[in-house]
Amino acid sequence: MHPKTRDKLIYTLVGWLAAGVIFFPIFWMVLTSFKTEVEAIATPPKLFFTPTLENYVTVRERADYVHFALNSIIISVGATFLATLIAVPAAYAMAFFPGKRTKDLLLWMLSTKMMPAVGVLIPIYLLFRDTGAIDTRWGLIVVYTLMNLPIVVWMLYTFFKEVPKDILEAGRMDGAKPKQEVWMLLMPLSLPGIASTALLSIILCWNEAFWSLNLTTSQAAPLTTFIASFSAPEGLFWAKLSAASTIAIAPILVFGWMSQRQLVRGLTFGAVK
Amino acid sequence: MATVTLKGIRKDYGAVQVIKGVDLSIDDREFCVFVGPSGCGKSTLLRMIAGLEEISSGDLMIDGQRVNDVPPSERGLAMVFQSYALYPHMSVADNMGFSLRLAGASKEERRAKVAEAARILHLDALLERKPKELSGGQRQRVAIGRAIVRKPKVFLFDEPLSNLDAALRVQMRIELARLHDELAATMIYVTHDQVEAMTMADKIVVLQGGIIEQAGTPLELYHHPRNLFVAGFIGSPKMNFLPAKVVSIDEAGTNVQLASGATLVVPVRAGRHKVGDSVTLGVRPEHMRLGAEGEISGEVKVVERLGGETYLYTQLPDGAMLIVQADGEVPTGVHERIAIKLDPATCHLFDAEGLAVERIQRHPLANLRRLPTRKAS
Repeated sequence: MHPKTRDKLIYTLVGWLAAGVIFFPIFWMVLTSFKTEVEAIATPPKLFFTPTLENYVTVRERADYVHFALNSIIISVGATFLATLIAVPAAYAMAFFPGKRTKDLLLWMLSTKMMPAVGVLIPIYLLFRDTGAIDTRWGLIVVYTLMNLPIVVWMLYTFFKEVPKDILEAGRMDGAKPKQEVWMLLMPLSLPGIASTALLSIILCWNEAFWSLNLTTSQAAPLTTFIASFSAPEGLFWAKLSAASTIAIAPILVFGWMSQRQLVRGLTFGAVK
Repeated sequence: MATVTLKGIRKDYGAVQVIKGVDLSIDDREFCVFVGPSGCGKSTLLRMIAGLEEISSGDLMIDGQRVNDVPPSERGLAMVFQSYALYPHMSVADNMGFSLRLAGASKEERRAKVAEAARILHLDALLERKPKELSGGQRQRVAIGRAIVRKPKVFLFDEPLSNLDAALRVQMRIELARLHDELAATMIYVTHDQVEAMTMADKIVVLQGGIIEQAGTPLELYHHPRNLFVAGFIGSPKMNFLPAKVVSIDEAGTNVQLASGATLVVPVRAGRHKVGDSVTLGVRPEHMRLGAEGEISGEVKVVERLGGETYLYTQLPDGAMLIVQADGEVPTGVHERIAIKLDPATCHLFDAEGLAVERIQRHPLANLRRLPTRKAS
């Protein structure tokens, strides 16, 4: 075998293996959701069984899935929209008018993500209590916006850096004001980057559990709270939990699947240029 | 009418001075070329005029009005970038009409003005295309078209031809000269290519290290360079410099002795130099003649034959290399010894500080403008 072909084969195998490892929990979750509770905790685990929809029926009867799903959509999209709205001008300023401390500022923003969220739980909870934001969608939107802002700014900054400065300067010579420069030139030119940033932000919001569990009860609770409600004090019901999880991730999975081309293109934007 | 005047213009980035006090006046409808080696500040100066760089100190006047603090789009300028900087997501027509759109012009007005510019630049058939579907030369024309549509007082060009291949560069050079004539506009053009500067300019401004070394007509710079830098920069191949000693000075000129022992009287005025001073004799390759005997002789090391002319890279006994331009038919080969005859009238003399000693006679074409008869606007 030619060394190049052999290398290619090895890389492909490693790629598939990694993908398999990452995908396995999701596969197992979906599988478990079609088992009975007894089958779900059987050792050794059963790969072949008679599938049942019983868990889905129970999950539907116990909670209003649509309510939770709608909350998830409104909160993720709302927070992503707000974060992008704030991050675009910030990243524009940082990419095209950098100061001496711009790099430090970016690093500091990212470093806030290293702090465990629980560290600010008490102050945020108290703030939420005093402002009446507990169990409201807007409350979660604000928290998620702040949570994702560093990543969104950072990503947009790297995408904006790819846009040639000359083009914006040509716009300035043509009479574009900063707002027009961003809206008519920068944003259309970095659309793949903005799209993948927004997608990532939506996914992060969708999967966020810590704040939603602590700051919502029923009204504004998203799907993560819905899943958590299936781990009751009486014990864990694996099959039902899996069924709930499956329908919770289904929308974002489909969404991700549909936009994967855009996502990959955006994330490798700078790398392949 | 558009004149551009720079008074004591400076630019510093912290402690680093990039432009160190530039005074310059560019006349109406003049084609002014900033030329100099990379890092000399020519692009920075252009960007300061454009309003894309802040002016640290000094005054920039356009038509007599101080515009230091006027935003780029309100200075009445248009700029063509080295990278063309076309908007990749817009069609050619939209690229050219973008400034009008921003200014709130109606669709009809936009279409008419874009069509007019497209006609001048022969872009009519390409209006619906995106920039990525165009060749380099076409993109360049769109970039120029975008500038024309704005009907600016002054056109600014930042090395616009450097991304084109040699043949296209020559063609665009001619086209730009034609446009300058047709539009009757003031143009400021930045390049590092002295051939572009010589062929297109009414006025060349030679910059080095953030200062103007000399500004003047192309032939003035060629025949009366102010110092060694300008003498070496203007002209291709570059001027030869020979060390010499002043033997005597009188009304006919300065008699200098070369390392070879030969003497010649260079027709220059009495300057600061004195008898016995070390000076530099400058001779352009095209002003040297091969002969049976001459002031200097050397061994040919490299021969470059271009067909019409031949360049002989000749080593002198002291090790210095000279470039001699000879006729295309000259049969001289490598390792042959040649004698070179100098014509004192075409020689330049530079004092110990590198400044040119003024010639007695000014060259008759030194004040010639590129386009002596300009049609009225």
